[in-house]
Formats: sequence, structure tokens, C-alpha cells
Amino acid sequence: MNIIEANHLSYDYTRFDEEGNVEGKTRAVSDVTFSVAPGQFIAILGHNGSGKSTLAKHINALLTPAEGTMVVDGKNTAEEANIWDVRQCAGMVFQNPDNQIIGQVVEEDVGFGPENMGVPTEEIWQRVEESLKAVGMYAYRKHSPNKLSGGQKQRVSIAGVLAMHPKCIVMDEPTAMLDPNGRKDVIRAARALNQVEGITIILITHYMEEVIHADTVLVMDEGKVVMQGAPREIFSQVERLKELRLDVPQVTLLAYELQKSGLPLPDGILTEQELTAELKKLKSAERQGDGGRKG
Amino acid sequence: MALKLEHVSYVYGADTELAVRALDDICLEIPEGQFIGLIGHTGSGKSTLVQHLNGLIEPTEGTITYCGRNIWEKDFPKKELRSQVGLVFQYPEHQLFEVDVFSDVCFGPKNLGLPKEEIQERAKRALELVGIPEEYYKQSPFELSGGQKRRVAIAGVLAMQPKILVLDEPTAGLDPRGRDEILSQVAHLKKETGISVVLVSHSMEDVANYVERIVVMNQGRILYDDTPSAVFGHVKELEEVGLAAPQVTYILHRLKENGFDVDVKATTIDEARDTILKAMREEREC
Repeated sequence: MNIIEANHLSYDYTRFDEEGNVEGKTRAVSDVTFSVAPGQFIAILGHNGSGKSTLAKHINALLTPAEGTMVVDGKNTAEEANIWDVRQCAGMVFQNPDNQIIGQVVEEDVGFGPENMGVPTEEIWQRVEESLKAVGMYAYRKHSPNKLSGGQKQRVSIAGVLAMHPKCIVMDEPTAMLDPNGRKDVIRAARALNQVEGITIILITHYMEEVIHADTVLVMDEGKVVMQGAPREIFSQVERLKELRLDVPQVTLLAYELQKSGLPLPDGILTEQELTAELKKLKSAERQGDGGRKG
Repeated sequence: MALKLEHVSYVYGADTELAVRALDDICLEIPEGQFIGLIGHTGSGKSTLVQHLNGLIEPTEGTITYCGRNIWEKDFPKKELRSQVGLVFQYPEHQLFEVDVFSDVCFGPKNLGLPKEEIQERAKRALELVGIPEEYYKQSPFELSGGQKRRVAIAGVLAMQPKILVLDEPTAGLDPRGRDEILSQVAHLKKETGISVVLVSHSMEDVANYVERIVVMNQGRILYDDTPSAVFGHVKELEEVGLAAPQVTYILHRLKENGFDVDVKATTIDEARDTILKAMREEREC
């Protein structure tokens, strides 16, 4: 069974005039159909205003579809009775860590979620410990969150979601406000949760390098899913992505530029290792070619 | 016209038990017409430094001079300084408030007490510089896209006609195209008007692509102050202080280790492409 199933999902934001009368509607998500199997790592790309966040908010029932359905772990999010189950199954991490941390001490903050769920005290502490260890923040459990760096705070936010034992975590631009190290740590934590704990991850981001390890990339434009595929398939279409106001990782762009200048490199190179290996191949081919001529 | 910081230190909560030295003996000169990148991990003192540049906070030790005058002298015209050193904070679009785009940009010069014609003239010019066309002038700023809003907010500061423009993470949260649009507008603006720009950023790629000088902050001190290729040559040291070099720099280092004769000083895609092509060509010729 799929953990997330969106079927012809559409959503409208209603615009109001100054008196509060309905002025019109803006379609933010339009006829989106996709499904995610448990344990997958999905990335969603799209320019500002393309509908990514609106779609993401449907996954834990912060929004419910105007048309179509969203089913999370077999439960229809539009049904009031399912809301708590849906939210426990799918946790959410937002852009600004400062808006998500409430506790005075790291371990209290992480314990907040399970406490609200009525988990017995002893188990809360156990969950807090596990969650903080999973994101590499256990050493900071007695610290004040105010004194942490952005990346550390964001990992505490993730631990807070993790302590509720979700099957799926939706991360909406979790690295947008972080410095390079903070970004690396958060992405590493997300990948570890996915690979070690088998948690389904939905990652929304503007940083192309962060999605190269995803199983599937969805690209959104004007509320629709316009591209869908493995990172390599998506990033081989440099021009198409630029039309959509997006980019490719720097290494992919460099390979693309080299290709345009006449080097016979394959499409969709995603990592430094790949580019180095391909250039080495070219180099030895050159040498052999020379040898052949001389011989 | 230079802004000069000499041995500037700043202590938060001085004379208390919680005193934190946020800036430690900073010497920095911002001359006319330079594009400077200011980088450092969260908490390295960048924002505290930036707030010293237009006299929002007073240094605990050291002096700051603008055009040779100490800005903390009693009769120094602070208001003038603040119009000459324009600060654009993070998420400046949160500060938009007027009913339409044009009025919002007029707000700054209006407060300077200028005549009406000049206010409108300045607002027009500022909006032109950031690439907002006239059909948007009468629109509510809240109906614009994220990138457009941010450009309107920057225009609001430009309308003050600053000599030094300080941008604190102007591209945070924007999509890649929005990122490029803002930065190329800023580069264009710098060329057009000859002002100095200080770009505070977490994106090493952006910094490498646009600036001519990089100042690296760590623990309240200046770690490096040099050209991009010299600064990004210190890859290991940058990583130790929570930063990184642009991805192309890593690629070139890797290629070099694998026996390619490339120039590891390249920091942009174009430079990297050229040095790789050159190395491959030489390979072919020898």
C-alpha cells in the first residue's frame, strides 16, 4: 500500500476584498496525481509560487483538497475523524527553526510532541533520547535551544517530529536559512532517517544539490506536476529546468557547459566523482587514440 | 568617501556575567565602487558588523569614520549617514507597508524632506534600477511575487541614493531564477551608479560569481580579506569554520588530484570550463 496517494487533487485560495467579501479564487494546486511508497525519498522542486508548499500542507491535513482526494496511510485527510491519525503519521518541518522551537531546554522541546499525545513519561524520555541520537544532537540535550546554530536548531525540530514516531516527514525548505555546514547536517540527518529508520521523506527545496540522492523528483509549475522522474532524468534537461526558473547542481551545469564546448560527456552527471571518472575516460581514450595513430 | 573601521570591538551585555564579545578588533575599509562579499557561519558576527556600518550600534572599542570623520562624534549628522549607507535587512519584503509600490519606494526620500518632484524622480529611478516596470507602480506590493517584492524593498533603500548598499542575505528563500535576477540587478546597479555593495551571503556560489573581494568572519574576527580565488584557495580552513568553497572549486581540486593539469583557482562555472578545456586540449597536443 502506498503511504501517500494524491488523486486529481486541486486547491484554491480564496481572495477577499477589504470588506471581507469573496473576490475570487486562485488555483494553487491543480489536478495533481502522485503516489509515494513507504520508505521512499521524494524531492519537490518548483519556483516561488508554484504550489509546492500548498501541496505539502495537504500531506498532514493542514489543508484539505477542494477537489480530488489525499489519502495518507490509507486514511482520507478530508475526513475530520482522521486528522489526528494523519498528523501522527506525517510530521512536518518548516523553514524557520525559530518558529518551531518552544522548549527552554532541548530535551524538553523534543518531548513536547509525545507528551501531547499522552505517551507515558518513561517512554517519552526513551523517545527523546532515540530521536536526538538519530539527528546527532544527543550531546546538546541539556542545552538551551537559543544558543544553538541554525542547523542545530533545525535538527532539534526534526527530532521533535521524530519523537512522535511518524511514518513520513515532510520538510518544507528546511535549509533555506542555514549556512553551508548547517545545510549539510540537516540533509545528512534526513538521509539517515530515510535509510536507517526507513522513514518516508518528502523534501521541498531550492537547492538542487540536495535532491541528487532522492528516489524521485517532482517538479511543479503553476500548481501542476510538470516533470517527474529520477534525479538523473530530471537534471539532464538543463534548458527545460531553466524555463521553469530552476537550476541544476553546479557539477551538472559544468558538465553541460563542457558538453556544449565539444567534450563528448554523457547527460545528467550528478556528482563530482562521476564527472572526474568521465573526464578520465575521455583522457585515456585520447591517449589510446594517439597511440593508435603513432603505431 | 570611504567608510573605515579601526580596531572595532563590540561586547553584548558588557559588565554583566553574560558578556559576549561579538566583534573583536575589526579593521576594515570600504572604499568607493567595490563589490564585497561578507561570509561567515551563523553567529560569526556578520550581522553585528553590518549594524555598525550605519551607526545602528556603537562600538565598545575602536572608531568608525566616514569621509574621515568619526561617526560617533557629538555633532556628526547621523541621519545623513543613514541615507548614505543603505541597509537592506533579511526578508526586507516584510517591511513593505504602503498601498502601492510607488508610494512605498517614495517613503524614504519623503522622510528626507525633499521636494515632491525629486522624490518621484528618485523613486522612478530606483524602481528602474531594480527592473520593476511602470505597470506595477500602482499595484499593491502584497500582490507581487517573492522576488518582485524583494526588489521593491531594495528600491526603497536605493531611493535614498546611498553610496554604500549593504544587503543581508538578499536571496534567502528565493528560487534559482529569482536569485540570479536579484544578484545580476545588484551587479548592474553597482556598475551603473558606482556605489559600493556589501553582500552578506551563505551561498559561496553566489559570492564567487559576483564579488571582487571577500571578507570572511569567524568568532568576531576577520579571518580572510582577499580576492575570491585567494579566499577559496583555503578550502580546509573554510570548512573548519563552518563554511565551504563553491562546488566547482571542489571539482577542480579532485581533477587535479587525478592528474589533470587544471587551475584550482577558478571559482565560477565559466572559469572552470575554460581551465578544463585547456587541460584536455594540452593533453591532446602532447
